[in-house]
Amino acid sequence: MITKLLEMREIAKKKIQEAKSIQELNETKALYLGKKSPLQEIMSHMREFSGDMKKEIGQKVNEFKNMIEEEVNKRLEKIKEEEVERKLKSEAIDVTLPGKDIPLGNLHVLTKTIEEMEEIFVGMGYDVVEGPEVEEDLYNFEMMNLPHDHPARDMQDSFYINPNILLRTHTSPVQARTMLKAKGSPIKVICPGKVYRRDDDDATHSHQFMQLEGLVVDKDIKMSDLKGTLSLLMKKMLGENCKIRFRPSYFPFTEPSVEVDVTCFKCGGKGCPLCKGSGWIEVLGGGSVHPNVLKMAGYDPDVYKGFAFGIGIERITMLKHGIDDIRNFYISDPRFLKQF
Amino acid sequence: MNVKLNWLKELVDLEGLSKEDIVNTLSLYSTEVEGVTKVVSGTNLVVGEVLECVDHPDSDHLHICKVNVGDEVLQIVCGAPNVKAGLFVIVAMLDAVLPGDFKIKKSKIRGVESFGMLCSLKEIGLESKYISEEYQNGIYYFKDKVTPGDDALKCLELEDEVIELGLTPNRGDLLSMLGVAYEVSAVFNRPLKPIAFDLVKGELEDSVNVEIQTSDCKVYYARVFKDLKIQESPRWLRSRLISFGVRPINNVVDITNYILALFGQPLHAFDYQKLGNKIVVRKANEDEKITTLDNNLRTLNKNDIVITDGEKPVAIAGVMGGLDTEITTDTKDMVLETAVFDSTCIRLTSSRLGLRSESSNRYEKGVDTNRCELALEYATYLFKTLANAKVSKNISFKGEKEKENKEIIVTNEFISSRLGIELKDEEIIDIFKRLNFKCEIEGKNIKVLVPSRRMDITIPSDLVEEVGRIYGYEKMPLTLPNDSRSGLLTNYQKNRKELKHTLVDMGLNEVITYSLVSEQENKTFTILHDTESNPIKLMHPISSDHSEMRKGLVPSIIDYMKYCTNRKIKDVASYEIGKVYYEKNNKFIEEETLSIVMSNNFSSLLWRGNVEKCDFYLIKGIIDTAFKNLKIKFEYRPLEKECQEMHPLRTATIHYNGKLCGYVGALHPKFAQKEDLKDVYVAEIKLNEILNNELETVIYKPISKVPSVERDIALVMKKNINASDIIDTIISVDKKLLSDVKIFDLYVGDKVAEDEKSLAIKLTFTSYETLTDDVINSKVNKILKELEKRYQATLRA
Repeated sequence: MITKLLEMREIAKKKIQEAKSIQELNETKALYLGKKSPLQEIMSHMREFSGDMKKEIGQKVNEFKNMIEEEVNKRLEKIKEEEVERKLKSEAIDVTLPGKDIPLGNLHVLTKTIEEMEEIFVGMGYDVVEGPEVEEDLYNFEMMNLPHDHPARDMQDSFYINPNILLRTHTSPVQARTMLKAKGSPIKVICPGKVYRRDDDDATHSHQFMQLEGLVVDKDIKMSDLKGTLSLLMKKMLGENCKIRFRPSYFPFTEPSVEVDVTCFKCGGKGCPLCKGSGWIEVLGGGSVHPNVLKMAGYDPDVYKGFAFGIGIERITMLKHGIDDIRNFYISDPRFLKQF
Repeated sequence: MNVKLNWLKELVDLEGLSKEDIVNTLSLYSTEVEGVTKVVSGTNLVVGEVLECVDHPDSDHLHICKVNVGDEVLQIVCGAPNVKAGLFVIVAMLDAVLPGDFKIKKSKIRGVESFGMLCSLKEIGLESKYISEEYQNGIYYFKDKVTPGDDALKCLELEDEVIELGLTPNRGDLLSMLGVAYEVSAVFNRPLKPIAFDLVKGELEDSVNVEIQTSDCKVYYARVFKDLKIQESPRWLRSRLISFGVRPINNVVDITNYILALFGQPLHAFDYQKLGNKIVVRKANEDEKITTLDNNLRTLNKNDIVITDGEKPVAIAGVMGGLDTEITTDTKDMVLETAVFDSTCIRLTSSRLGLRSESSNRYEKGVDTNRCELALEYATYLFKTLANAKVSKNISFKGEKEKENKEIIVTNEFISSRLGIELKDEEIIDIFKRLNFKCEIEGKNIKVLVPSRRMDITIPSDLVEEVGRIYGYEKMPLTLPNDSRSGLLTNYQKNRKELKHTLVDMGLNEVITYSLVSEQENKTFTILHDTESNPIKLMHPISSDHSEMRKGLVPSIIDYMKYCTNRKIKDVASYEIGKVYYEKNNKFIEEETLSIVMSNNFSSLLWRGNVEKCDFYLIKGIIDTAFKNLKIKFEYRPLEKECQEMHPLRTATIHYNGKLCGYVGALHPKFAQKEDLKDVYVAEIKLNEILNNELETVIYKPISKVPSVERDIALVMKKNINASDIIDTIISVDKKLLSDVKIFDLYVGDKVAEDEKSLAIKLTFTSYETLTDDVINSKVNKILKELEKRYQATLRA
């Protein structure tokens, strides 16, 4: 009987190991442990054996049972693993094919420049103020110290709507409006926006363009504050190595007035075709607020001082990215805008 | 202003300074230097003597010359018609470079060797307007004594450099060599050199009776000159005028221009015989006429100042002389005017008549009355020496006496605190001395006497600028405003920025287009136009394409769409945020607006074969999603107003808080066809009233521990029932448990009646307690009942 069990054991083991699927394995298991299995038959004859014999056979049967269970489990694990393996193989993909095209748009490069500057100035404590583009001559010229017969009005040929209303030629009228609104209290603002001049459009002229005006008015504002502020702005926009310099200039609404140059970002100041060999590039104008401008807006120029500056958004964007035609900004060709 | 370097060096001591020093320092301390050029650009030019000149055997116009160039005799082939033996000429030696990078090399011309070139003035780089008739065709030859081998440009007095100053309109004082000399003297702290000449006392008894009848003539000097010998000016004078940019004509004209260049004082010469001895300066009568030097009949008005002979005008003051009293080659006697007129009058007259000249330009910027007498005396000296003139003893003069220097009081504190530079008193005083401004110290006050030539300086701030720039802005420290202000974007600005970025995140590209459009464009896409509004029109547009401020953004973005289509860019999804402008009740209104254009494929999944096509629901979804971040929910209604450019049945008007604020839809097929566009969807939404809202602080609600329950229902209803009404009804039934209502399918077809449609709707119920089927079923039944009652919508079988 025991020999029979041992024999059966080797055959069962082999059969389990040969099982190819979970189903086959279950069938094999049932064959040896199920109700009609030879083991059950042995068990049914247990009564016929004597004590010791009974005990020994009982032990062997249990051993056999355990062995079957163990072998089946082992085999089951193996089969499962093989199945996973097969599945994985069937799921192979080409990971080098492109990903799905999720649409992503792009801000206009001029908006990017303005947002960059706004962030820098808001960080320095400036508010952002906007004003009308269809503007009164009063704010655009007169309150900017450009009375009717001022020769400097020739510098800005303008689009008039009627003799008193025009499309603003610079963002400076927002200065006057802001000062009148602030009614004599300190001011620290930037004013970005569109401006218009009666120019024919070509590579360097556009009848519409953008400026960013800055105005600070307080009791203790110095010209050197303007220099420090603009130096910081340019370093943040064009890199830490960027330096600025002031050159004397003239604007009716500032006195003293300066043109501001930055070190050429192409050659770093050594001199190249972009900066015409000088190492410097003119980027903006500014100065101390003219006492007449303060006075007209209700500030006592003996008590309050200020500085103001105006940056051409297109100019600085063109210089930064090497863009050679201002018309690109308003054609908005996607092949142009996608580059930034 | 063109500044001839050697001339400048005659007026101010610039010993030891290089051209580079001068240019760089002027830029930083004075005024912009636009460039430095040579008077003529040819190099390696020497004087040559033509020893022999024979015809070229193989040519009908070439000559073979033997030219002595000092230490050798060269054979040179020359084609000029006026070359002959005995002439002293300009020779471009081998390796000379002429304008246009033309290098002179040894060559063979029709078999004859040539070792250089005989030059015309044009060939060495002189503009032909500066070349006299005599030398227009052919080579130049010297008339005075020159030595072969000498530097030809030196002999011509053309070997010099010219600095071009770019002047700001306030610095009229720099429109003269003397003014520049004062400036350069201050900047470099170098002494001025006096202009030395012999004062001419005069011998004639003649005098002119001058009368001024208008305060717009500040001063008027007149002097009589007789027996003028009109001839060519000496070479030094011509070369200075050429550098200055004025064509030399004859000694009389050249002297007046020279005085203008040197002192900034315009002079005018009348023919004494034709003028007589009376001058009355007055305002012109309305419609008074004069024929000017250029032979044009000019009509004058009351603003113009005229010089008259007591009756009729003989010159438009400061602008142009009259033909009748013109100096001609026959003129022997003249009256020389040295005057100053009001700058605004001259500007208005010269711009109205379109007559801008060196003279009017100076008058416009302001001429120093205190310099008139010096200018006249120096002119007299030149007429005497260069034109052999006899001079009147008497100088007629009318006008204001010598102007006092302007007195401006400043303090060190005033200047230092404005510049942000700690200056010492002595430093400030030294700067004023360098500028040739006299100053006196009275306690803390510095009294500065500003000379009349500096008309730009009128207030203490002007002196701050003078001190700042001469001290040097480069030495100014970098400081920041000493305050503790905080900056912040307004709600509107924040919301607008958020909107821009959200649209970009969803795949739309921002564009910026022109605010000025055509009259025609302003008549399209009128859905949002106020019927009482008018377009804002330019008085003087440059072109009809840009003649009005746009009333809407869509015409511009359609233009952009057409631009893309023409360039085969088919997949477009773009937006613009900009203003629209109109006039209403005499008020000019500007409203910020969003426009969107979409066409063809929104996104393509490339190799997977499927694409997301643009349609009404895509652009609508983009709008809704973009504004979701801002907690803004729009209401859409079918288009009621007619609009020729929009599809009548595929366009919705957009409403916010019940108010019309925009529209979205497909282009009208007729319009689309006309514009050659296909599958284009647009939207326009006014933002002014929408973006002001402040986002409320969100108060947290605990998340339900039990899962939500979803129920799908399919409803059949008449086709004309708006989906939005169905959703609104469902929401109105239950506000407590119903957390979401979504339409997920629309069916029209065989399985429903022809006038019916079926909507599949997903209802989501959420509660903090477990929801039983009974509760849900009763809610759903309530909803169904209400829908049936209001819209006869029934559950689909």
